[in-house]
Amino acid sequence: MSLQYKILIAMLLVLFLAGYSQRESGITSKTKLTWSSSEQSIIQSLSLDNLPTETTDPSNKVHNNSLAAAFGEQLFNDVRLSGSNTISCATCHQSSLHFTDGKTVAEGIALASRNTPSLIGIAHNNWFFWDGRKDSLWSQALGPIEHTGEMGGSRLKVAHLISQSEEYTKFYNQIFGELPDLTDKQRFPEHAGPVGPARQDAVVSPWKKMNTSDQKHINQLFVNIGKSLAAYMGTLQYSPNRFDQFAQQFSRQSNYPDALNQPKLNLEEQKGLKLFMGKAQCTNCHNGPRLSNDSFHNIGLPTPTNTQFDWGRATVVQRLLHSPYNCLGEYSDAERNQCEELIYARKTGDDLIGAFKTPSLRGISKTAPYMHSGQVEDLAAVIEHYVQAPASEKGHSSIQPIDLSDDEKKQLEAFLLIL
Amino acid sequence: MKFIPVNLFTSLTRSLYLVVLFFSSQHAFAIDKALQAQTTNLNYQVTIEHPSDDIAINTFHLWVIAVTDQQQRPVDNLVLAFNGGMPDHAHGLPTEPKVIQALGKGKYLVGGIKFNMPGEWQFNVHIKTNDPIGSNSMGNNLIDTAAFELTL
Repeated sequence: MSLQYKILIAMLLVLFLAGYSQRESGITSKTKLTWSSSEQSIIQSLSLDNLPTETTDPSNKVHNNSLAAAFGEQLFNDVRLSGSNTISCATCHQSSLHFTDGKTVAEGIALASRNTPSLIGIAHNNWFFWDGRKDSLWSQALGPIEHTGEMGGSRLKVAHLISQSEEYTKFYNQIFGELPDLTDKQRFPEHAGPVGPARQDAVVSPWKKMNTSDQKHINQLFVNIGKSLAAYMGTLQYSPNRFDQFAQQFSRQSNYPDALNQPKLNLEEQKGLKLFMGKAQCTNCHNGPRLSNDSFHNIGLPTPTNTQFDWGRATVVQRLLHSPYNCLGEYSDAERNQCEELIYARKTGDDLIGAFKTPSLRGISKTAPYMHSGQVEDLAAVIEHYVQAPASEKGHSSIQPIDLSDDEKKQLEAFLLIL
Repeated sequence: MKFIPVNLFTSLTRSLYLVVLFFSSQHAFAIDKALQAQTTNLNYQVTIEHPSDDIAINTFHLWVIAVTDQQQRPVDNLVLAFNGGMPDHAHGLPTEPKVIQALGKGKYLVGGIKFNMPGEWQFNVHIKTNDPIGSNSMGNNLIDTAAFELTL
């Protein structure tokens, strides 16, 4: 082959490859958006890589105790914790529904006023319940058991259940030491506790007749049940989703270097992510790896028909500060300096009126309906709420209207669905 | 002297205070190793000292707050109170910061500082006397306020 031919072939090859690579980059530009360094840094901050895989709770010394978690799991699924022997924690927190119930508001013995929140990743929270009226997962867990509209149980009924079950007694003794002797039914009635529908009802009256020292033993036992339930809930951790895989391409320590050329989000979802961090202002509150700032905000949600305005955070802080079951109380295992959230909690202010905790958005596609009273049916309606940003019935809303086109609303929804 | 109803007087002073606060807050300071502000009534210079350049959100910070008079002399024995928030979002600070320890030489160790959103924040340091009897139009022995603007 002459030199001219070789040059000609080489030139043709160069032209062909140039054309091919141009075509390739054309395809690429239609499937990948470019991300500025500040966007990359926000994406990284939202990644699950930033969340510890284990949680801690200084107020609960058995929080990471595997035996307590196993005990807690059995208790979580045990209907005998309820007054009617028909309702367990798992009745409303169903594992198949991301530990929610798919209902507008929780249905226990009666209809509650609030929507059942998911328990996945719950142990990373600082505050519990929608209004944050508890400051630990263990003290939260005790609430529904005795709530007359939820499980309608009592701490004495729970105590007798533990002492009458050989397996539970074994668990308890091994984790917490010797279970108190409850055989004297005069001292330890079957069904008694400080919570009831009326001051003189069948549960509260026998509790009041008990001596203080016996009450304290029962309180401690009941707290230990809460701490075991919390140990179990601490094992319910988030799993990485497609967004987390996508975020790894911007990570210096990425375990998936191939991710660079393999976008895990389609174009629609990437556009949604851009809106999430930008124009739609979601990351104002849904920030950090849990996509929540764990704070309380009034966002002008409508009061459901036939119900009264829910004051949220504004009415619970004083009660929490005086609760013997808070981080500073006698049943907490924490040192004073480990209770910063409680010590520095906001106590007053108009901005607490109608304010509820920013929920994590992880797993959001599985937890409809939305908001504290389940008053928003689906994600499209959630986005519409933020677009409209109606004024709050009382107090004042923290959000302002956002201008999103119909296409942009769909893009944002597409992104939320992968979380 | 003509009698002025207390409520009207208080609301007038409050309005004046807000106007002054508005103009004084125009002198915003970027995040730096030290943030300084004159108090509204020009009694004090207040400096926020914090250990890092960036103030991370959703985590507690310890700050040292230093107060000097107009002659640059440190002022001890003050009672400090804090509030603030995000004017654009109609909410306050997520916490109630408190003085943990008076360090002497006009410095006060403050705990419970936390910000829960990126954006424009206002942080006010209210300076009060230790004297339970002394008072002024703002009540609660308030002498003066230093207003800071932070962009996180």
